[in-house]
Amino acid sequence: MTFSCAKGASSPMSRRPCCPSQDKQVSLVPLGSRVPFVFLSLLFLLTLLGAGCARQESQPARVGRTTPFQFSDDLQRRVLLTKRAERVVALSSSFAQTWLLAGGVLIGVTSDAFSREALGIGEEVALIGTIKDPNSEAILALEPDFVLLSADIPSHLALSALLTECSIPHAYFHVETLDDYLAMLSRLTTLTGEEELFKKNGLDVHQSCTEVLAGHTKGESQSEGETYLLLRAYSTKVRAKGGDTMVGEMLRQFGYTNLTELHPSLLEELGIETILKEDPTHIFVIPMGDERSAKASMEHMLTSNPAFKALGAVKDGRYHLLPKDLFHYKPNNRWEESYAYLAHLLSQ
Amino acid sequence: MFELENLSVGYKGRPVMEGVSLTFRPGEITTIIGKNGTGKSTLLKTACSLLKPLAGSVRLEGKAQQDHTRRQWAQKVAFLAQSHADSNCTVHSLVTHGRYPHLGFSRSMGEGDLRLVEDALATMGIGELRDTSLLQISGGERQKAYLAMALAQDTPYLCLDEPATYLDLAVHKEILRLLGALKAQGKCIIAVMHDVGAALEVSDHICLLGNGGVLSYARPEALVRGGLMEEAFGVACTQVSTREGERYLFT
Amino acid sequence: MPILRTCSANKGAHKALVPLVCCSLGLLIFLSLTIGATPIGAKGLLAILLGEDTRSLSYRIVRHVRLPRTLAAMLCGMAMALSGAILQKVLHNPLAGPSLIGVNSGAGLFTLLGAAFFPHLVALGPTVAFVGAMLSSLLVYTLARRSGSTRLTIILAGVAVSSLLGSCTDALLTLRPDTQMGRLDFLIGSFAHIPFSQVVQGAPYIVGSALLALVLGHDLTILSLGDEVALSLGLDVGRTRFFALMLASLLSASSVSMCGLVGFVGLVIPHMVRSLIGEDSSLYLFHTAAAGAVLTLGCDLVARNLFRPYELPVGIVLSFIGSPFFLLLLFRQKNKGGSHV
Repeated sequence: MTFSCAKGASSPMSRRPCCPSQDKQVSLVPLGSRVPFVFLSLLFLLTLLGAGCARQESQPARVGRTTPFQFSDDLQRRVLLTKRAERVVALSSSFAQTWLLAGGVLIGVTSDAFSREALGIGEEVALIGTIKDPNSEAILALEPDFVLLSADIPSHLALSALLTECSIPHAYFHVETLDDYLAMLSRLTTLTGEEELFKKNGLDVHQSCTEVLAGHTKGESQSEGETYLLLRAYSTKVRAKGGDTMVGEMLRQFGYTNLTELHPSLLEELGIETILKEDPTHIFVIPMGDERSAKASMEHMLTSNPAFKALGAVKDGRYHLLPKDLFHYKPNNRWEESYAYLAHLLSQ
Repeated sequence: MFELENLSVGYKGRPVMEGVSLTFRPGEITTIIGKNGTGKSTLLKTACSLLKPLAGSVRLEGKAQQDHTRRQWAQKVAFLAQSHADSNCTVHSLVTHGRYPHLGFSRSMGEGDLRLVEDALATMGIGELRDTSLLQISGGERQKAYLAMALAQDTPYLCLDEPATYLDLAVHKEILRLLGALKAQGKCIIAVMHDVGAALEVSDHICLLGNGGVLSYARPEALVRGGLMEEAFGVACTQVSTREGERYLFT
Repeated sequence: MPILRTCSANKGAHKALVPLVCCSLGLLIFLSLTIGATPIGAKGLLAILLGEDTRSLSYRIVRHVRLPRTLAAMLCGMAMALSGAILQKVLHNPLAGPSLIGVNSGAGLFTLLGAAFFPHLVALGPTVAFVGAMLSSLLVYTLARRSGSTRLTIILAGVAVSSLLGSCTDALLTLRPDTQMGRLDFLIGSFAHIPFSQVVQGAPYIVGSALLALVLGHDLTILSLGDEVALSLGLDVGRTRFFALMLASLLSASSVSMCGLVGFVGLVIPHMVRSLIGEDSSLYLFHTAAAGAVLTLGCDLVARNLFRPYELPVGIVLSFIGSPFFLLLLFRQKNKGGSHV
């Protein structure tokens, strides 16, 4: 629909306009804002329509066969379940395992749960995305009646609004230490009604750990004032971790001090001079990502770097790569193994 | 009447010129000439309210410049700049922008506006270029387009900064003739020109600038006879009578 | 051979494009609401929209997941594209985008501050980001004003402030490494997990600013002729520029606070529309807004459905789909002998 003005149609003295249809183009409202105004009004209408849908949402019916169960989750939110949780979705492999240990059944998990074969997640369980980026539609499609989320992952926190709007009970947990695990297991086993599983997977584990700790500290009286360096090895770099982590907490119970507590600056930059000065007794490394490349990265740094080679811990071989399933993922019912592993390493 | 009273112009507090008092009347062409750096463009831009005066005042038909809103001023005074930023619009589009000061809140053009645009295009003889982008025409044609825009602004006062630059000889002459025609319509034209010969030819008054002020404000013949031309430019000026009128030679 | 474009025929052609654009947007909205892990038919969708169905799973999915997502993608796409178009016009710089006026770095820093000190107050996140974005762009403008408020000083001030805020963000990341995840979420923008309430909160800002921008369109065109010409035509250059910058900031701040950084849109969509219909058109801003909405919604549709239940970051899909198209336009332009971009 284009036409061009004929050349030569106008001479300098001609007073006739070149494009006759122009004369008709008079509008009181500018072209530039009338049409888009209509468009934007439609957009607004659509938004209002959506809002209108909200007003018609009705309350979920109360199923009152069992006593409603109420508890506080790790974000101090009150979680209320009016019926038995039978369709449960867990948004991390650790929580998935804890729920299974509490005697529950899962209908949906994140991809990290499938990659951990030890969990034994079957094919009938739905995949709902990754731990960092769970798919809200996939969660809703399963019509769960209880969702387990992590208090430390931002995308999980963002899901709260959605789950609340859909009246799906959900709870946030933060598990770093054995005590955290026990607190979570306690609430979950009350939910499933399997109290004896709490004893088996919780209290007994706690008992064994206490025994391991007692056994170690009795024999090693010189662990007072001993320091350790805790590192997290990625495939491209190595970072120091503080004493407030899971491993840090365990080592504190063994009587060891994390080097970063004496020198907080180590958290930002691995200050070789500081480490050399303090000469930690042990060096622990937690691999991130692929264990093999993390191990290679650790070996490279510790053994090829002359500064690190000079450390007593390295010379005597007191640097240890900690296995992921006992020290990166939450050990859950295998805490005793983790403690025992550490006890063994520390006695070298 | 366009009056400059004791005007000091310059940049960032440093005056380029001081104490300039001039009056421009409708139906007259006044050309501002002077050596490079004397502040011709600065003076013109300050008069047109594009620059703030350092001292003194500018009055248009008795009303001070500050008492006009920007829009009111633009409806009375049009300005043609010496150089323009690259702009990718069509010639026709550019000329329609000249009507901007006269448009209401809805910013839409009425029949009268469109007619003025067409007249401006016709007057400048660039009707065939109406749909071509400014970036694709020659420098001279672009100058004509901007001049057409100033014409479309339809103001009683026209301030032109080097209107004939970039234009070839024939078009140069055309522009000068156009200025004459506009003057005959009753417009007041103030132009800054480098071409002293053309200035002397076409103007009713010449304003010669130098030494931080106005060296002379006189009719062309008087200026030439006065001998200030040699002083200001360092060249001798001779008036020559030709068929078309008085012309000036420089040696 | 120069590209010939006519005066009124232009407007006619662009007007004719409008229903086409609206139809494609309508189609995309329909597809976005019906396609997903749980397919929903047209009849089912109609029932939901008319309020007849308020209990079923389909209703919950549409109402709580797809509808806010569709709206967010459209609004943010529209906002980013308009913001980029305004900035490119006002600053007369084809490389201008919302990142140039400090909006992105301000939003990023404040998001991180919120994540570091109030990690559990997720609902406050968008407001915090918005405040950060606006404060940052006000800082840029104030600094630019102090040094003359020309186009160049605005760009320089924007670069300086972005750099400064970026360094603050990096410092914060080093001191509080646990905020890394929040930062990544922000850097790789996404329309997932945006609750409907947040969309309703941000919509008035975006729609209002867009309307104002469209009204301001003509003034912006005058401004793009150059400061001197604009002044001589009676435009209050300083005020118009400030107003335009604030609008651009509002638009991109609202968008960034809703969905994080979605690059591409603000920088390239204005160029794409310019290549197709030219910057001169009175409908340029409208078509830019519409193109932003259409492209972003389309790419989000692909991003969340291609590898269900895994989601691709929408920015990646935008780049993959948009860049070749943009390059095509570039080459078409070169062959035609015009130099518009």
